[in-house]
Amino acid sequence: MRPPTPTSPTLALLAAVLLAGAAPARAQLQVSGERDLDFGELLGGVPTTISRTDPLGSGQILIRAPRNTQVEVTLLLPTELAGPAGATVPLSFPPGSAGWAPWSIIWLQQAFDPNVPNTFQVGFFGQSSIYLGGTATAPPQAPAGTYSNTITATVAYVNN
Amino acid sequence: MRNNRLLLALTAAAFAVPAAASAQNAATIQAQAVVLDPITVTAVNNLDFGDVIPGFPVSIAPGDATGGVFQISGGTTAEVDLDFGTLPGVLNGPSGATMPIGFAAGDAGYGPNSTTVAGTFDPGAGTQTNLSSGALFVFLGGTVTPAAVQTPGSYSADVTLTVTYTGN
Repeated sequence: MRPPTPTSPTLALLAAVLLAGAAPARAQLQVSGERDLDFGELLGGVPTTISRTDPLGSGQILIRAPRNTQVEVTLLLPTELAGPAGATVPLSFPPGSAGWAPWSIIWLQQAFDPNVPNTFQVGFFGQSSIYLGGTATAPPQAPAGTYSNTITATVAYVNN
Repeated sequence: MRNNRLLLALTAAAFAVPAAASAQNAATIQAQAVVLDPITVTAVNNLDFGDVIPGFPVSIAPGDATGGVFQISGGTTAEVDLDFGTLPGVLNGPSGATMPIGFAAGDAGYGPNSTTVAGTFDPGAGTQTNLSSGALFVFLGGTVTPAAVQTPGSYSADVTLTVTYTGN
């Protein structure tokens, strides 16, 4: 005996249910590190500040999500750069040292405090960026060498 | 049969959509910098007036063989600030005796090596100049004026040079 074959109305109903079920599922949220925050060459005892609008030095994190969706951005910021033989260079990220660019255009940013979570709306084209500046102050006798640390950006959909 | 395939396709699609969805994501970038060599200052020669005769002032120009010399090393061609702070007004001698010492506007100099004075400056005011290939020499002269009746003996005082990067 052949198993019952779904009728056309049954298929239509099933398709409607499946599509209805798929609708609430959001497209994938993609976050990628595009550019490091680069302080360049530091001199001992001299603070060096990189602006969030610096096209070469500022850090950039790219977010791809459906246009006009609300996302919450949380940055995990290091307090220092780590260098040779345990040497460190203090970092600071004052309020306003980060910017949200809805269309990923560096000169069209909304400043925000990177030390606390912030909620933004993804731009019309579904691609926005976080630009990050900051200040590094090498101690006067900091040993020469390369210093670095990791900045992590976590982006989540806001339930609305 | 065709309906079964359609049903299978719809079922697969239903499972595929939630799998692609992601409510949170994270990425990292690096914060990075290159720290240049720190400044070091080394005293090379004392400012030595030698034997002086009571009542006769003795002057030494910056760069003279017995003038004071400091050697500075640091980052490539970075600009540095040269600051002698408060210069001594007297040299201290035996039994509390003192001998006046003075520094005129051109009594300090700097240059790329230990024998070349490329420019002079007022040691009381300090100056800014650039390192040359990570090096700089600072020269110091001055004038001592022994009194007509000056207690014999050795006289000395400290001169301190402070060097810092300006950030330029």
